[in-house]
Amino acid sequence: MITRAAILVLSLSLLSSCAELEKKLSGKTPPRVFVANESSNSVTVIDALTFKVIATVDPKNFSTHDLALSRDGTRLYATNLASGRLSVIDTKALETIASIYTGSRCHVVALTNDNRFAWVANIGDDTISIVDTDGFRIVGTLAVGKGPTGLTFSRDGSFAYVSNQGDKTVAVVDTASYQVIKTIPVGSNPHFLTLGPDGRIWGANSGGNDIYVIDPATQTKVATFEVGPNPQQIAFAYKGMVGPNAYVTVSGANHVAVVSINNTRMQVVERIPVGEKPNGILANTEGTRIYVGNEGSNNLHVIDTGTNALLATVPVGLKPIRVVMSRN
Amino acid sequence: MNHLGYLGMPQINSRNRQYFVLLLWVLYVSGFTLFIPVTARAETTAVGIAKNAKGSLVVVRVDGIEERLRGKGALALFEGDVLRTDDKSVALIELKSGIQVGLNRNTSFKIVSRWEKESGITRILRLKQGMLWVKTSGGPKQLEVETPVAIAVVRGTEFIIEALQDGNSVLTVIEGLVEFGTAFGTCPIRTSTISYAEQGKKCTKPVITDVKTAANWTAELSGTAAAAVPDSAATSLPIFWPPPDASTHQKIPRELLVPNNTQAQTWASVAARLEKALTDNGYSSPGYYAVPEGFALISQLERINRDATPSPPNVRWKIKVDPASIKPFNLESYLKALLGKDEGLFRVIAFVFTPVPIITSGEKIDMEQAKLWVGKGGSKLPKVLSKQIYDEDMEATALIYEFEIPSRREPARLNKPSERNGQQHLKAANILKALGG
Repeated sequence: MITRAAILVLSLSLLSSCAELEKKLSGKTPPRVFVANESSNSVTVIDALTFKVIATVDPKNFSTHDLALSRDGTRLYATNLASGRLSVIDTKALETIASIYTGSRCHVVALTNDNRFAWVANIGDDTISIVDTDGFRIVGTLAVGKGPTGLTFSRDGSFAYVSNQGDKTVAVVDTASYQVIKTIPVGSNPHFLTLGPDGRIWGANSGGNDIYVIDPATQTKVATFEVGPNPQQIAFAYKGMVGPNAYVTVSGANHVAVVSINNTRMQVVERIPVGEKPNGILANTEGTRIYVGNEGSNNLHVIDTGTNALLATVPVGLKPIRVVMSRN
Repeated sequence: MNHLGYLGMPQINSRNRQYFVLLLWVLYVSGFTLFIPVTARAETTAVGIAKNAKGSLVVVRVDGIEERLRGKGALALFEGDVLRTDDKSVALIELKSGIQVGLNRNTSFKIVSRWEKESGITRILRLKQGMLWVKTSGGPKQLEVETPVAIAVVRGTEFIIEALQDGNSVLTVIEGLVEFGTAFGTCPIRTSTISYAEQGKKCTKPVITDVKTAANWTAELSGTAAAAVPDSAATSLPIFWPPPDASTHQKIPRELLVPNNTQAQTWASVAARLEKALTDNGYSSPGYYAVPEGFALISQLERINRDATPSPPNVRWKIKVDPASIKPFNLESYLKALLGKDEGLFRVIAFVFTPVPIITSGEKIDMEQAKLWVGKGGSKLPKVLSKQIYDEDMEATALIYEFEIPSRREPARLNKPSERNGQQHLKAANILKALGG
């Protein structure tokens, strides 16, 4: 009995050593998932492979809402709605190293493709603050529309897209001249925006029940599609051979809608039940897993997209809104 | 000894209970203080006071409550406050660390901040519209002024910044150095220069301006330091920019002007070193001029030999003028000049110190004009310029103007290029050697 136990302990320790050795040999840090908890004023840091909580970071502000991670994974930028400030978090030290006042009700943050600037949308001021990521200084302020709530950039970085919930539009900003070159009507309470794997801009009308697609080639809305009540955020992943599909958190129905993004025929191919009021969603770089933040259940669901199996439920802070992941 | 009480909690007697309650209170207060977010702390600490308002200064607190200052006073200011003046009012505030800020008419700005672990809190004035005058003293301050299109990072200085209605901005530096940046690049703006920032563009190269005029409105804040805007360098030194086309030019190595590189050198010390090298070699006092972000020092016209060495002292400075240049016309002087007009080679050296690339104007200078450069220039650097630090990016360039009068019947002409290069001229004049080169 004792011998068996000893062998088991030895085997486990060997496995653990192998994992450590592999980590050291590969020189890579396992990817990490960062979750912004709006009502806890915190960011939960989770090992994306073991689903264990590594740390909880204090952004030193109130109502941590949105996150953007630098390409090298060393800096995490977090907006804080109530403080109107952008926190800068050192992801190695897991501590906040800067806090910058951007504007009233600063809501979302997106990094330019070269990561030189963080664009922050301030709902209360109807502005975008452009923060230099080197010195953390605000080097420009743009008026883009009423109630900016979503932000993303085109694949080549030439255009920024800003959703304005007050105007029910998306403003297209030329990043060379900082001028709004077009305003596109999109729908009720447009919110989240992201760049899709097809190079198009995908957005969710959180006040309605649809998502829409903007083609940067023509700067027009080319598609709109109903997914369910209060769609929040969108990620792209594969189901085995099929994909990429758009995975949309449908907050009002407590599920993730999986949308085939075929140009000619968008359709919901399945609905994956998740926790209460799903909001933030991300897919791993391989497109095999999605991580869903449930702001009503205060947890994160990890789902295998091949089988829709729930791999883990990770308790996080109160009202998780945004989920981002470092590259491995 | 404590006994276990209800639910296993230790029982505490009445005397110990007082200490226990006190301990809990201390823990509660210290915990609250330690873990309260940065912004919450910032908004409850005064960051300065409003000292004076001609007309009315309106202070809008973060909760929307408005307070007003009329005349002199000491209205506390906090992070998040919005300060504004109307079209009849100007005001003066003082931030901590002795930073003075004047608000011109129709000005509005918000007091915000940035916190960094390494450098602490930087105070930021977010200028929405209007014009601010800012003066700091006692070295660099953690102060920045944001406009919709640019940011001015203060480096111990005095300046005026204006946000126009379209958000475009104008920075005028009265004294010192301000880093003026947009998303498209940063320009160091120095004493007596002005720069513009537009949406979507880098700030413009600084050009010399009359800062005293720009700061006229601060005089309204009488009885305050704001009224004491110094005489500008621009008004006391003539401008030598862009320089006319030269015969040749030569960069002067930094180590010849700043031999002890470990010590900060001022413009005055660099000018003094060069002036000494000139006077040691027979030159009289040079003329001083202003150039963008720097200064120029111009030697007097001298007669030189073909090998660029100075002519013997008895003829080096005896240079007759062109009779045509005698204005108003005077027959006696004209005849004297006509008879005595020289032939030979002549030289003027303009030493230009600036980090700004020199692009000559394309204008061909006349020898008679060049002869007057020394007399028309300032006799020394004004105080505000002399204190400037000779930064790493400063470059010294000698522009050599070589003139030739081929014969008594022909007018003087600028040799372009000279038969000798810049280095040969400076060596022949013994200037490089005098500088230790």
